[in-house]
Order: sequence, then C-alpha cells, then structure tokens
Amino acid sequence: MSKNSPHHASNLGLLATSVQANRELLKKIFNNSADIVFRYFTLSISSYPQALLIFIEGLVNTETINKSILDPLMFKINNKTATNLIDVIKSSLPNNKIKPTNLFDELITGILSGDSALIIDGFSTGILIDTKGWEARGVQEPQTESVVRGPREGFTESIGVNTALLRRKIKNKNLCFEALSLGTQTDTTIYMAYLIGIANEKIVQEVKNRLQRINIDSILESGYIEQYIEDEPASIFPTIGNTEKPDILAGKLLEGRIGIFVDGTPFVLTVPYLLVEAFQNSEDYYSRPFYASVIRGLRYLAFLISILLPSVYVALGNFHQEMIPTSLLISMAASREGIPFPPYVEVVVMGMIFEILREAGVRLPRPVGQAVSIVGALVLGQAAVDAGIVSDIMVIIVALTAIAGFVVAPLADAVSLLRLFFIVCSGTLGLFGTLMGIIFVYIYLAKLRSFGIPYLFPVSPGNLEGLKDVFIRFPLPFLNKRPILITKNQTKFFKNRRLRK
Amino acid sequence: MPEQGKISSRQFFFLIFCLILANSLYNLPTISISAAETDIWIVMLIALAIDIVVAVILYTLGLRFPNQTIFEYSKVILGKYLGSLFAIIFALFFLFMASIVLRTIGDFLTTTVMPETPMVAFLIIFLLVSGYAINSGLEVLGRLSEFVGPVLIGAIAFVMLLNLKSVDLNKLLPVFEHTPMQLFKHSLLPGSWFGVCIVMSIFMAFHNKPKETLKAKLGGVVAGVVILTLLFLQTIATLGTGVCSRQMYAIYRFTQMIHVGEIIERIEYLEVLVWIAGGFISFAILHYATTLGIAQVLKLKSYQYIAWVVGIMILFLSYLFNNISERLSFLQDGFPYLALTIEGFLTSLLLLISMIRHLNLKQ
Repeated sequence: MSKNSPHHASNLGLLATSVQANRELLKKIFNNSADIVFRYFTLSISSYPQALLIFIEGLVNTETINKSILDPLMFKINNKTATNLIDVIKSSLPNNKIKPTNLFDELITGILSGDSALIIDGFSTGILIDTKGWEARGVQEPQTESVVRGPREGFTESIGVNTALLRRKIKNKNLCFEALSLGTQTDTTIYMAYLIGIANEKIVQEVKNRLQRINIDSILESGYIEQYIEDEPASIFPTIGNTEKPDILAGKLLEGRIGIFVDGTPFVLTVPYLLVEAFQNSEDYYSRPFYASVIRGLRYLAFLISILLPSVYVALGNFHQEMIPTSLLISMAASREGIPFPPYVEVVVMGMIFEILREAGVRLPRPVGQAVSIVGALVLGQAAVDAGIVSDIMVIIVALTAIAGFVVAPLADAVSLLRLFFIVCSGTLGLFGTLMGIIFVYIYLAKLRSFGIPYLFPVSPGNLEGLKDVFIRFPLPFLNKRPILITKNQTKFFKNRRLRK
Repeated sequence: MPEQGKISSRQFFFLIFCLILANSLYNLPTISISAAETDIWIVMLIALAIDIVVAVILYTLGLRFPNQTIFEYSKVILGKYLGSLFAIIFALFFLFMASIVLRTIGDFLTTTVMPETPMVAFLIIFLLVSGYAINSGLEVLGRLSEFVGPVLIGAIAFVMLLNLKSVDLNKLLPVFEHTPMQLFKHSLLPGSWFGVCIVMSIFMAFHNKPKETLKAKLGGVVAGVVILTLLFLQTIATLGTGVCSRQMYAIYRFTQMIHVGEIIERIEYLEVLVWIAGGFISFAILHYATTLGIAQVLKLKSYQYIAWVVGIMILFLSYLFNNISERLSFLQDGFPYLALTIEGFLTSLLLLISMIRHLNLKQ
C-alpha cells in the first residue's frame, strides 16, 4: 500500500476490550454514517458472550453474512471450553478469507472495501471476514472495440472480475499482479499486470516508480493515471494505450508490455504504447494475413487522408491549380462559382460544423440523435450547397476526411488537431508548407518516447524483425519474435516446419 | 559533449545517402552535363574515387581518435591554437556549404514551382524546422533520414520507370570524346560537391559501431552516386545533351516529361516535394555540423542557442550571391579548388601529422 493511503496516515491505535467502547469509537470514526450496519448478537457457547458484526450496506453479500457468519456463530459452534475463543471462531467460520487484527486502521480499511468486521466482548482482537459482494455490471461486449471475429467479452467496472478475465486468457504462473492504492480521498485499488521473464524489468520498475510518484486526491478513471504517468503530457499523441478487451490486453502483455488495471473502470492502460499499435487491430491476427494486410494498408491511407486531404485541397486550389487534371479543374471551378469564402475558410468552418454534429450525436439520447443527423445531412449539407455557401466538392472532402478520421480510433483526437495544423501550413505556403509541416511532425514523433521506447519504433529506428507487423501483417509463423527494445526475451517460439499432409 | 545520441549504421548510411543525392539534383547536372556531355558517367566515377580516398583518410583518423569529432581531434593533433584554427575552417566550410544548399533550394522553388512567393519565406521556414530538428539531436536527424531516404529512392525510381518509354540510347553516344585530363578537370566539381560528406568525421564519433563506419559511408556514397549517374544518363538519353545543357534544372525538366495515360501527368511537383524533403536533410546535416563545430570550438555544454545563431548566419550568407548565375559561375570556377583544399588537403595533413606524431588514442 502506498504512503498516500488515508488509513496509514492516521493512526487510530488498538482495539479496546469492551465491545461497547469499540462500537462507540467506530461510530465516531465513521461519523455516524447511515450505511454502516452494527449487528449485535450472542455466540452460542457456554458463556454467551456478546458479539458485534460491522459492515457496509450494499458492499456485502447478505447471504454470505447470514449463512456463513451469523448462522454458525449463533447456533452451531456450541463449544464447551472457551479458552481460546478467537481460534474457535476462526475454525468454525466456513469463509474463504479470514484475518484477525487488533488495529483499528486495518479494520476500517477492510470494512470500507466490503469485508465484515467481527468484534467479541472481552477481546481486543477483531476478525475481518471477506464478504465482498455488490451489484455490478456483468461481462458484456464492449461498445468501443467491437469485432466481427474474436472474443466478445469486455472488462467490467470491478477489478476482481477483470483480473480473472485476463487470468483465464493467460494460464501462466508468471502472470503477476502487483497491487497498490492511490488517491488520498478515494483510495482506489490499482493493479500492475505483467509477465515475469517477458516484460522488461527496467520498464516495470519505471512504471512502478511513476505510479508511486502520483500525488492526487482521487482516481475516478484510468485516464487520471494516464495523465500523471505519460512521458510528454504536452503531446497531442497518446503515449499510453487503453483497451476494454481481455484478448487485446493479453496480446500486449505477451509482447512484453505492462497493463494497469484501475478499480471502477473497464479501460485498462497498456504501456509502453507505440504509434504502430494504433494501426494494429486484434482482428488482423484472427483473420488470415492477406486481407488483414490490405486492410492495414487502408488504415494508413485513411489516416493520411484524414489529416492531409483538406490541406492538399487548399494547397491545390490556392497555389497549384496546374496540378489538377483539366476536366476536374473545370468542374471544381464551376462548383466554386459564386462561393463567397476562400477554400481554407470553407474547410475550417465545415470541419468545425462536423465536430459539433459529432459531439452532439455522441451526447444526445438515441431518439434525438436521429433528428440531429437529419439536420446535419439535409440542412447543413444539401441546403448549404444549394444556397451557394459551400461548394459541393468541399462537402465531399469534409465528409471523407471525417469518416477516415474514425478508422484509426486511438488517434482520433490527435487527427483533428493535426488537420487544422496542416490547413494552416498549406494555406500559407502551399504544398511546400504541407511538406515542412510533415517534416516537423515527423521530427516531433521521432523525438517522442513512451517509457523510454522511441514512439516510431520499429519504423525509425528501423528494425526489420519489427517491420513484419507494421505495414503488412506477416503470417503468424513468421511473427516469432517479440519486439526488441520492449522486451529482452525476444523469442516467442522457434520456427517449426509447416505441417502438411 | 553537447551531443548525447548515437546513430546506427543504417542511419549513417541514409544520412550520407541523402546528403549526396538530394543536393545534386539542382545545378550540378546542368553544369556537369554541359561540360562532360555523354562522358558524364566517367566523370561521376572519378568523383566517386576522389570521395572514397577522402573517406578512407577520415575513417583512419576516426579510428585513431575514437569518440572524437574532427573539431576535437584537430586540436589534439595540431595543438590548441592551430587546431582551433583548423576546426574553425571546417566549421566555416560547413556554414558556407549550408548557405549554398539553402540558396540553391530557395532559387529552385522560386524559379520553378512557386514564383510568386518571396524566397525568404521558404528560407525562414526551412531554417526554423531545421533548427528544431538540430535541437532534437542527431538521433532524431538519423531517424528522419531513415524515413526520407527510402522515399527518395522510390521517388527517383518512379520517375525513371515512367520515363523509360522516351529513352533513346543513341543519345548516349559518343563515348570517350574527352581526353582523360579534361575528364579529370570536369570531375573536380562533382568530386568536391560529394566531398561535403566529410561530415562523416563528425558522425563517426556518434556511430554506435565505429568499425562499420567505412562500410556505411561507402555504401551511402556508392548508392547515391550510382543512382545519380543512372538518373543523369537517362536524362541525357531522353533529352539529349543539348537540351540538358540549356536547362537550368535538367532533372526537373526530365520529371516534367512524365505522361502516362491521361492520369499521371504534371506530377513533377510531388517529385519536387520528395527532393525538398531530402534537401532538408542535407541542409539540416550541414546546419548541424556547423552548430556542433562552433559549440565544440567554444567548448559549450549545449548547442541549443548556437543552432539559432548559426541559422541566422546561414540566412545572411545565402544572400552572398546576388543571383543564380553568380552562384553558378562560382560553383564552376572557384568552389572545387576551395572545397578540395579543405576536404582533401587539410584532412590529409591532419592524418599525416597525427602519424608523424604517433598520436593514436585507441587502446
């Protein structure tokens, strides 16, 4: 547990022997909170001592409490000699996790995380019994990373379910979870997951150090952690990945990456994160290599279209009309006839309108969303063209750009900013400006690192082994090496001769 | 030392390759083709030989003084004052080359593709991005070259392929029209122009496997020169030596010849963009060399600010020549002798003195 934990910070001392005194103290500590349940009962042994069970309503499974705590203690133990009562109770509770303690701090941490605390009159030792059980969303298909082929289960909000989902994919004793808790107010549980022997120890240590350096009052989503541990907080490119799917996470861990689970969110962080990962998709590996490679090429194309197409249009229209084939030039000129704005103003305004529509579409309730799309398509698209405010070529360009921007989902927010940047470049210096913009962005990316790994690896610095899984996806038997730099243990398996009939 | 990064052999290769190739697409072909005509390939081979000799000299020096740049070991070899003078001469040479390269690209852009934009706009944008690249370190420059180099090869191969149909091999005749003496004289310009890759003496200090330096450097030079020679020959075979000599930018004229179907035409500007990307790398290399040289002569801890100062110096120096023809006549008459003195004579002198003084820091 980290030093930031609130319960370590305060030292509440030892339990008292009187159950009444303990109850009063606990009430005071919890500030008489209404959801704390104090249940008095008597043990069914000769001296009939009074006992007190403390738990939080809603965090515990009532059936567990009734059947495996109250029932045995009130009716079944019936022990004659109560010389060592605590041991007797321990041995008669049919419960999977039991922990005696005499520290208030430990007791409170347990109660807050869903355990029940049992205190018996005359003893200054309490017993923490695992009774965790609360209402949670079941394992469902995630909304963001839907697939045609591949597992459909996704992570949930409870960290225990998530680790189990991962463990079911990787049945390996080397899969290790390291726990720590962060947030001085929320005390959120964080698990670092990695495969010992495959993950680079230096990176594991670095991640651990960065996590421990976080000083924050609350962690409500893994995004909080992401923003605290990334290499370049000022970068528009993500240097930390996230996924909702156990199979994707398993794939990344098996390449030597590290996963960071955060309680309360289905999004698990993965580090280090390289640019190529944005273009890789779990389905690339589940389907046969040929089509997967073509699709991957299309993804790169879509990325280029979504950042460069408006800028190239502006450059061609403003500076280099001679590069456009004559017939196309004539139809473009005809459609621009009478349009009051220069192309770059058109592009920026239409791009902004699209972003507004998209944001509205995401936030609005589904029935209203339809109305928005009708307004967007008919009123803003068709009517604006008919009214001569924008050219129809521009509508095509903005639509294509916008759709292409969704193909590479992890980079979607970087793409919309880059698009604006390139429009400014080409609006001032034509294609030369675009080229210098590309070089600038490339230099920036070449300088960027994710946990010490160059962001553009394996393109530059180049690595032939790594390039097998960048622009085209080689057949699986060829992908027998883990990415160098990320892991020291490179060999996944030795190439075996193909099995033929 | 101001530079912390290391470059790999592949990056070394592409840095030298871009430096050789991307600089030689503008004025060099016109000057050399009008002088040597169809014997251009012999001239290029002699130039290559000159460059290999220089490379071997610098490689030997680099092995004797591991992890030191030419600016540092000139001081070790010649003592504090004379050595500093040598280092400054090398730095000034790089500065001068950088301004010539910058001006060449600026002139090219304003005369061909964007005549209405003032040249200084191109130069300033170039300097800003290059300053940013240099402040990001040699490693980043290496990674950029690793990306641009293959694209440059692809772009040139693309043009050569699409223009294959208009090749007339008869235009490559006659062969051996010039006397060996003439050919040698004509090869001085390309030889000295390629000799600018004495920057290898700087990169070698940051190479992660200095033993492979010679291989990487020769690979880069040979690949660059061979591609250039093939490109020049195809240009002659397509346009003829007469047209080539009259064109200000023969290779650019050559790319304008592309007409495939009704679709692929007027793509020369795309081609030019790739050249400029290569040109950017060669300019950034020279800008970097000057900056590092000044930083090492002045024994500075970092070169962050020096890069911008050097950038401004390059900008002013690039206006040294009033127009293109002044620059061209200097390239023909003065440049080869000045450059070869520095590239060939001064480096051999360094090697000779270090051998006489038995200076060898290698254990």
